[in-house]
Amino acid sequence: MYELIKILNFLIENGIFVYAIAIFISYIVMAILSGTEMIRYMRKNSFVDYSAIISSPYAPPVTILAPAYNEGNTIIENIRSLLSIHYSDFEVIVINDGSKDDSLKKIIAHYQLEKVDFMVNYVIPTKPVRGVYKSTNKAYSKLLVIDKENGGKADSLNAGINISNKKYFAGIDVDCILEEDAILKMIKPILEDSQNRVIATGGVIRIANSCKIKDGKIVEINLPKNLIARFQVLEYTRAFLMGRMAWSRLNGLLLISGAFGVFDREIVVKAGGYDRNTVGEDMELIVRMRRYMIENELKYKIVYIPDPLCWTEVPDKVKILSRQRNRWTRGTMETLFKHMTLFFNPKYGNLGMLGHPYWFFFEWLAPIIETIGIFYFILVLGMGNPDWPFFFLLLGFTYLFAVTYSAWAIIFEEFTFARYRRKRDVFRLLVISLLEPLFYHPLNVWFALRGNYDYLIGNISWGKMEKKGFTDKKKIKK
Amino acid sequence: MTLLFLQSYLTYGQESSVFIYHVVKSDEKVSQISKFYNVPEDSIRRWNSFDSNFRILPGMKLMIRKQLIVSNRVLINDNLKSDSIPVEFPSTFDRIKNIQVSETVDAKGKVYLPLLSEPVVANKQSFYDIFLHFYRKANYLIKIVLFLNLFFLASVISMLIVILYRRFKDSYVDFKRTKCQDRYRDFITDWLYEEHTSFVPESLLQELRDWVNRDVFTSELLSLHANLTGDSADKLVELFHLAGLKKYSIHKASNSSWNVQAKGFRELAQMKIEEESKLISKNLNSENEVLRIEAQMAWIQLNPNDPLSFCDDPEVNLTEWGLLNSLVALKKIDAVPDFRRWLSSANKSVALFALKMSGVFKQFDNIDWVTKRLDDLDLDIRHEAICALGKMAVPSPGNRLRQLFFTEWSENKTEIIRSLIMMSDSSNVPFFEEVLLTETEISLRILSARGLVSLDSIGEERVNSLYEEADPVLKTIIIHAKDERI
Repeated sequence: MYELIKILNFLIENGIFVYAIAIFISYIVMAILSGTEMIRYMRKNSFVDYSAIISSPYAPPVTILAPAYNEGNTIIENIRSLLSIHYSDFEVIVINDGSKDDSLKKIIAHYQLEKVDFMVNYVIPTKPVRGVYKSTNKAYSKLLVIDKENGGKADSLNAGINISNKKYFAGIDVDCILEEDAILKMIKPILEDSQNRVIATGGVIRIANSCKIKDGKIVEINLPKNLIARFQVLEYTRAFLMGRMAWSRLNGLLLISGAFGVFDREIVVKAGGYDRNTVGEDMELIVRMRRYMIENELKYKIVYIPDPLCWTEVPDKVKILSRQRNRWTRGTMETLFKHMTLFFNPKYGNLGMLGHPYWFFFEWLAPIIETIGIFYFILVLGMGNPDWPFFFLLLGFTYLFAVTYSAWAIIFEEFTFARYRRKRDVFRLLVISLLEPLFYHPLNVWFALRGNYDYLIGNISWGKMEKKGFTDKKKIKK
Repeated sequence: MTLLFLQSYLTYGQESSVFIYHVVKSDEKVSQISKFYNVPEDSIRRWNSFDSNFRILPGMKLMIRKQLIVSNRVLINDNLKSDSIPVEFPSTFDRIKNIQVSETVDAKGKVYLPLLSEPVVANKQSFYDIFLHFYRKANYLIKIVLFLNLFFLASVISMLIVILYRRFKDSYVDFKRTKCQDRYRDFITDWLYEEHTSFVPESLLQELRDWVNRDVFTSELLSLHANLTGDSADKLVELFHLAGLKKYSIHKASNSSWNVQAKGFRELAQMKIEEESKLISKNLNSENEVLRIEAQMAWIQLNPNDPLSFCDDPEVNLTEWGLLNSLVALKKIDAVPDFRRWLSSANKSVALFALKMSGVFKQFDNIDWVTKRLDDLDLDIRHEAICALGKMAVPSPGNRLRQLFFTEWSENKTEIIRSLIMMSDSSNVPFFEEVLLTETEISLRILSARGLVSLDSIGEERVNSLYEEADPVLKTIIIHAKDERI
């Protein structure tokens, strides 16, 4: 027994040590890769004339798919925002996923819709479509509304894919606010690569809490007043500017946010569309698309661009945040376990040898190992006699590393898009970076643990999300 | 914080220790002290940083490290006397301070001496002394961590300074820009409407020596020029030369940084500085995609007689983005080249470009060459040829397209029907009808029904008769196809 404890002890100590070193190194490598990629991108796009795409007859056609469920309060404004996108050949398909509120009625009345006899081709199986609506007003000719039975976000997107007939589609959350040139910027990487087929592009999601909105557009960017939302600004900046840019460079991206991404319709259909049985449908689709391309020996690429293209409202209450993070954890687990065949499988290149293992060890396992570490430390505290100076030295190291990493993210933002123009906002972000490891991070670890528990007991619920919307008090008075 | 576990790794099983000072008596040797404290001689030498030749002298204070065994007490040798002055290490300081005198004898009768019964030397030491002492005695791992901590701290402070500096710099540049922007805009507009404009004031030339002013002036001039043609545009070109901006554009075009170079190419092209096209030609096949596209766009504008000569022998494949930009540049020049020259190019990207452009500029003389490419083994070439024929909307290749349909891939089948629809040829009726009735793919059936509907009375008539005999699916397809709103 004693020997067993000794072995266990050895394994925990050394395993954790190696894990910690690996995670530190991975963060540093990612920061370096992101930095170089960002510099390259910013230089490259410093004088791009996007009007070339707008005026070109060869700009690929794009469908914007916006699933909506009980969005009655904001849906009119949201659709208006989507219709004002700058692009030559696009259509907006809003999918009413069996809303229980008056969303559909409102859309029909406001956009002068009437039912059309649409022959729905169920290339991807979905819940039945109850009706397809088009506007009698030519001004809204780009709008098409699908009314279907409730089946969830993935099911709604699949219904939209079935009805769309354009080469590319952009999957978005209907309550997101897109920058006017969002589609132009997302399409450009697709046009740039002659060697590989770019099957998906993703852009940076930014936080719209406390921003001022007018006519469905962001007119004033502010740092959220709410502390929980403010923590997420830092978190999103770090994740998008430092994480995903690096993965894009390695062509190892496993996730394009469900809030906004552009996809090659043909490949999505061939890969089987969105999985309706997961709460992480965005990540799962990307993994499946990549698998499809590799298994069919097709050269492909998934690209991420650092431009802030989509603004979304994030949870500003701990309870809502916990539901969201819980769902993210379950979604990650579902995707990772569903595609375990990728795990260190050289046949899948970067996806198998880098992307999947990274998510497995450093995204899914991180909160679990962290918790084990804390419990182990408490155990040691009770049994032995810790070297306190060294403990505080390491604690300082961990803390300062986290703060420095966040500060780098702020620097990246400052040198690229600098959307928070007020000086005090940058300082607030720096203060947030000091507080985050102490308050926000432990919360996230707890939510992730709850997500693991819920996954194990088979909880598959989406979790009710409450959003204030942009059309009430935050809207500028005309 | 994820790495908090690292701490636990290094806490368990570590022996904590205290240092005490031993005052050397006369005639006392290291070996005696070693025996006295039951520690090796080498350790005493190491702790006090002296080598084997060093001799200790009476009155000297030697540092002796004593190991701790029990968490709340310090076990020391029975023979430790009061001439040894204990010094506690910061980590043990608090613990030692809390030792109660009543705890000095344990159940087995061993003597535990509370160290704080003696004056604590450490209390008199500064933080720096403690730190220095700690650092000297630390192992390599601790030193690394210590350095990293200091590095991180310095990084955060440096980043703060960088942000402040950048903000300050940006504000200054913005201030300078706004200060001169309106003035320069007015000057350029006045220049356009003035009759005799062959003189740029010396004061302006002086101002343009500053890079911010020059940048503002150039961008104002170029953006205005982009919206003008004829004499007005020429006047602005003249101003560009008189203001001495040409040399700066040439400097940019020769810069070692590719993004500056690309900007230079753009300026040279817009200001029609043809004599510098040699500088541009060097980069027509550049590995750098942005530079290559900018060079190609500039080349098209500066060489209207043979704008696409770089397509003859491209070393690098053309991209869709490049084609899009070339199209923009081609629309700026008056003469569009005959794309036949590249229709049979062995380079796939060039052939695709030529097919595309033949369709866009409706070069009907090239129909035969485009039709030939329908036999190409490459799927993309065939696809682009089908699209080009559709754009031209001439019925002659219709028969060939209809034949091709039954052997083509799904994506090309869709494009063939679209092209045939654009041709508006009544001879397509039987074909559309066949596809509508026999194809399995719904989208192709809908398209072919659309094809029939698009043929006005003949097609409409056929569709209506089919509708009467149709099954429910076909009926829905026909209704869908007839609905113009969809």
